[in-house]
Amino acid sequence: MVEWTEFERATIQDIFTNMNYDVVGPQSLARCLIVYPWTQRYFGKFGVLYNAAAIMGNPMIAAHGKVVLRGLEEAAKNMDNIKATYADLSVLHSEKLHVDPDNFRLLGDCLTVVVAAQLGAAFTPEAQAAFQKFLAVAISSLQRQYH
Amino acid sequence: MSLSAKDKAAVRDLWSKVSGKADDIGNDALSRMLVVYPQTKTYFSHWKDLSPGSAPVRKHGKTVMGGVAEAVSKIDDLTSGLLNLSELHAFQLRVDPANFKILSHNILVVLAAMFPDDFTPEAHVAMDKFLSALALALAEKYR
Repeated sequence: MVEWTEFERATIQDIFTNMNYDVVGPQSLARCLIVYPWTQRYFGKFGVLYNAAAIMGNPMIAAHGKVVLRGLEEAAKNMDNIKATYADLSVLHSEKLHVDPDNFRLLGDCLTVVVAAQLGAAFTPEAQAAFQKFLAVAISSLQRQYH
Repeated sequence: MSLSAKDKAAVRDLWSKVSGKADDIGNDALSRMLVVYPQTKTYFSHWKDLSPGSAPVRKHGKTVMGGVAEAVSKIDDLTSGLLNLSELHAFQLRVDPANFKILSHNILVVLAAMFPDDFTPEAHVAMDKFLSALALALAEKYR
């Protein structure tokens, strides 16, 4: 069972309540595909990923970025039960999508960078710690059903 | 994953925009590292105060960013350019190289927070590659 402090709960709720999903989702996924180009292996059917400009302007990537972020929102809404919340998603990523779990961490790092850019100084070291702990739990739960 | 001419140009370009705030970047990145990755505090047990923005943290952030500045100037040959720093880290400091990745991540987070418009995805990938190459050069003398 993950133990969350009051500060951590409040910080995560705060971040997700005030999140601009239309910006953060697309930007995080696009950044991941640009900064770690090998992640593009999972997006063969997503149109043109030729260069950074193409990726940033790709509507299929933008739409998918929002899907991923809404998935994280589910975890934020169920912080005491992320493992169970993500059971089906974990099977999906393992059995159907065949995603190497290391990619979750790469996307998580890009998400952290984008959130930092959005919040600036408000993204204090303590807030960053809470956010990264949350991402670590989400990622661990997503890896749970791999075998 | 070596640095292309385009990467080096992007790093120099970004550095010219952010180097004026190098001290603040160093302080913020180090502060975040100590808070977000508490295991890194083990290297600083000789400091009186490990809290964000404390005097020892500020001072050391400056030192670290001085190293980054040196690396930018020697970007065409990091391995030989940073030999002295590598020997320092290998034989005296003996910092586990896994921690270079951790500090690099926090430098990227700070750049995003402080320079959201300049830290474009292109600048991000170039900087990430550069910091990885820097870490590799620092680890050169380890074994």
